[in-house]
Amino acid sequence: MSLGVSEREEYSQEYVDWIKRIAADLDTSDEQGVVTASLTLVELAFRQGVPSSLGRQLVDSLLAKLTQNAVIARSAAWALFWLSGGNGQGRQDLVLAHAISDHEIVLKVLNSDVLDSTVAVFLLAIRQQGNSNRGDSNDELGEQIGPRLLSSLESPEVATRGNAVFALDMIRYEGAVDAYINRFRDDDAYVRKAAIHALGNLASRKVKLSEHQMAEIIPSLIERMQDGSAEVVQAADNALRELLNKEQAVGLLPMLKHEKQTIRHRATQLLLRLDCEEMINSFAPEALAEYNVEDFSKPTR
Amino acid sequence: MGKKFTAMISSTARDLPVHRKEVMDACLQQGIFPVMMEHLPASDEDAIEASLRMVDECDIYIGVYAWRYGHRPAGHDTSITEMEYNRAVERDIPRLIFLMHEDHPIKAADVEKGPGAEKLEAFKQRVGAERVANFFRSAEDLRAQVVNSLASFVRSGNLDTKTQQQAFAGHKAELRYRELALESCDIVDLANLPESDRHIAAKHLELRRLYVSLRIWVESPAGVDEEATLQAVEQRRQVDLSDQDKTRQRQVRERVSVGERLAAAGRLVVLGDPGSGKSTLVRWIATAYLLRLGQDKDWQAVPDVETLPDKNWLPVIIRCRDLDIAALSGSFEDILRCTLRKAEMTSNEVESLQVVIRQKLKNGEALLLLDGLDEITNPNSRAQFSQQIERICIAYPQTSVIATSRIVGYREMGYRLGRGFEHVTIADLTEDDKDSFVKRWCRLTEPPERYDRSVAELIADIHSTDRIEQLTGNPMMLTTMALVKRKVGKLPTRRADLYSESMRVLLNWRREVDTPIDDREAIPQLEYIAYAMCERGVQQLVEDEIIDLLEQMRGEFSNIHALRNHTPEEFLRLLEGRTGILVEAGHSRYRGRLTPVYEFRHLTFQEYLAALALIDGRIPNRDRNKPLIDYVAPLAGHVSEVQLPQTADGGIEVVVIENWRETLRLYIASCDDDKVEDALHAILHPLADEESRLTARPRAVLAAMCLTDEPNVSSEVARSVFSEFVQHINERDGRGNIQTSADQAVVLLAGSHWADMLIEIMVREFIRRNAPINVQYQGNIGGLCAVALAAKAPKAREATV
Repeated sequence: MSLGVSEREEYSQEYVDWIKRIAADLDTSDEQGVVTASLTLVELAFRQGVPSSLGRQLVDSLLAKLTQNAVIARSAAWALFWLSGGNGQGRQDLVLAHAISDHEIVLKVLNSDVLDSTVAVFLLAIRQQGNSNRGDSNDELGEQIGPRLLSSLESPEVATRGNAVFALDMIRYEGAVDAYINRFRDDDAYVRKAAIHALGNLASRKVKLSEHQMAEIIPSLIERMQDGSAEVVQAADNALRELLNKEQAVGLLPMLKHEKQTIRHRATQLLLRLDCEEMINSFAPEALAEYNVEDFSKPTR
Repeated sequence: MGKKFTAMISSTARDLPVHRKEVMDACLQQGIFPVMMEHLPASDEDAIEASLRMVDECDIYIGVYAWRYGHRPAGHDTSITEMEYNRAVERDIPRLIFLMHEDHPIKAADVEKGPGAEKLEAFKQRVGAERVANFFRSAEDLRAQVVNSLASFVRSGNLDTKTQQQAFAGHKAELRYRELALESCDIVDLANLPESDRHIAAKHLELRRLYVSLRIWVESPAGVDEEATLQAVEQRRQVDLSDQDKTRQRQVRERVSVGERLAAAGRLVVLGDPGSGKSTLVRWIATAYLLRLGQDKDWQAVPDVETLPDKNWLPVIIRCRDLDIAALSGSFEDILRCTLRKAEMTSNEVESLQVVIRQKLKNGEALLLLDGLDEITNPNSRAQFSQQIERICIAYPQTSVIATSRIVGYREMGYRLGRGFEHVTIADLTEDDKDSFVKRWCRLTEPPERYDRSVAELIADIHSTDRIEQLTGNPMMLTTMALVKRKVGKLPTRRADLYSESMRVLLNWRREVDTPIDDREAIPQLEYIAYAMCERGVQQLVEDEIIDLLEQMRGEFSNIHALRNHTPEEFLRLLEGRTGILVEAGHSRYRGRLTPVYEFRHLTFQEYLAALALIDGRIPNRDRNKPLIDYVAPLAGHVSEVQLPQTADGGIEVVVIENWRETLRLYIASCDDDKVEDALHAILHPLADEESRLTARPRAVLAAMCLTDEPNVSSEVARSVFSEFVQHINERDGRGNIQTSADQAVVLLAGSHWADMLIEIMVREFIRRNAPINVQYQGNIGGLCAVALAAKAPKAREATV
């Protein structure tokens, strides 16, 4: 296993034998056995790692499961995700990540007509990691996968909607702007945050947004600045930094008188960033005074 | 002619035979009888004893030092010559010092090199700093100087008989005090060893061999707002009592040695809970300094002694519980007199020793150890005594002082020791501390051939579960576990068995001192009190409430004859005095007056006894027509919301309230086999009048958790519990860290013999749900299942870089 550092493996024989039994379980047709083996690998890949001598065999077995039923495919994709290093918290294995990224089964699954958002998001994450060194990205998949993922945004399952947003963000699909805006008011804070974050990413890449879209986005983001979830507020704040211009800043003014101090401060900060000090002074000078006096967790201007 | 004075001639022998003869002649010329060690006895110990006895018996000390440090007896770092000087200093007898001048002709062989030369240099510097030294250039020159010095000394009247006699009496009294103090400090109370181990208890076990190094946390340096600090200490203590997971957090704080703080601050108030080792700490410090003063070769082998300030302090130990009212309200002289008389010294000895102690306190040569301020029953007397301590500090500014107290006892007196006192608390024992204790313990209690195995077993047992790890956080509970292990052969893995054995040890904690209380009398009453405390959701009761409960019990359980052995007041006193289970934790204002407050030594004991109460039916206001199982079902329906540990999306969880969670688990673990399945069902299923939307999950989690103790239930019952449990696993569970109660249950069950069944049921449920996996949190039944599966993996041995 190539782990980016010179590392010597010293797995006990007992452990190696145990992993071999898991590998054998993966190759059966017993649904319960395959799912059990995949879930075991999810945790072990994260906690202890697996011997490199078995890594490729496990990956091949798991890749073969991606085309089976949803629960098996999801478990297998989940295990592959952690075998290649997960979200950066696991044991990164670029060799495995590369092997998975370019594998024909992965491309086949991602291009299939019926795309499961869980499988898609795990595979795209692996590809992102595996290809990052080579400067490649998932972008080229955007036009192929994007439209199919859009429909997942309407799923009643929170996880499906969330995963779809994540996946769309990873493929930088520009056709998702309107769908993101719709998700700003999702029932689930996690989906709201992901959608705002994804839109912010598009904006930071200078993706052209229509006037009509901007007219919807800015008020919606300003509204999200008063969201019950601190994470959503932070995401909205970040997105507004990318998108807001002086003309639109007037929409922030009512927030200068918001009952919550954090909201008042965020609004003041955004307005100051747009050189709207005069606007603040004329509408709510006390907000500016308060902002200047308070040095609690004042974000940098 | 009056008394004939004697002079001890102290020097190295091999290199100075001529000089010694000259000094001897000089003494005789002045009418003073010279004594010196001409030939060293065969053994080093005999040599030390003989030399020091000579110093003890002489009136004047004459030290002659050339270029040799002299013989260092085996096991000692100090030469006999320096020991003789030290003894003369201790006795404070006149000392005449003569150093060989650099111009004095000398053979190369008579100049010591290496470490001895360094020690000689340090010794000469010390002597020079304490005394005016004379330098001699030849043996004849030395003789002339000794004659002159002795003559002027006699003329000055410094050798007046009365003064000498007083000094000698003081020295003798000090020696006796040190002997008595060492006897009382350097012992380990192993009174409650199992019957088969009485031979060990009969052995003289010394603290110097068993002491486990205690560390402290600095709570407030001198001058800081002590009141706020103490409040914080007490609040933290309350949290620690109720939260089993806090131990590790507490250990993160910086732990320092008491010696380090003593050297820095000079005056310490050492606070701690019962059993935390406050008195042991005082006894260890006293033992170390007493051994050092006695130049005992064991001194440097005393555990942790290197952390103590490098001083020749005489420890003056005052045990507050020994002080009578007169002493408490009297002067320092009264306090000393009372203490010394309690130590069985005669009135003459006390008078002589008081002079010595006063002198040493003045010179900063004594360490004042005040043990157990909280044991002064009346808070006003306690405060008055504290003021007296401050006056002592003013009178003797050079003196270092340590005062110990229970946290609550110190706080409630409403007076804080000022005058530069630093407030510290005794830290929990770390894993290393415990291992060190285990090694010492096994060295003392096991035959050599069993030592290695016993150490390995006990260390493994103590660290086997978080529960035991937490239980053994203080020296008393650590010793309790060691005693249980000794009695049973292995620490029981089932918690209920472990607590049961620990209870037996604690019930007999002072067995050697007092007659033990009859179990048939103690256990039912403890059960009754514990249940009442859980029912009220409290961990402390004031004395009046406990007395009321015990009275009530006598009315409700007239069939338990042993209850009549003592009145409630007598029983409570016996329980507190003779056992280590229910302890007085301070005072509280109740119905307008200060009343003692009691708590179980550890919350675990309260919970365990409450569980026994459910089994034995010793429940306050019990309806005898109602089956006991009917008492169990509603308890599991008491739920509360808890904040989940910090997660990205926050959140709360509903769980069975803390008062009953552990109690019900211990109840199932202790239940009779023929009742346990009904009891589990009673916990699992919500009652008809209950809001099952809220209580179904907490009940299912608790029922599953109960199975971690592996009670004797059938597979069918276990399966029904797990099947219900998995229904309630949601996206907040299984996110990788133990955050929810379900996470905790699964992790515990993964180590039990139910692991395979639980995993199988969880995987089935995961497949049945066929739900997407939230990529951000990855929490779901699959994640939880993965945790359980990985827990079964053999040890991987991490890759090494």
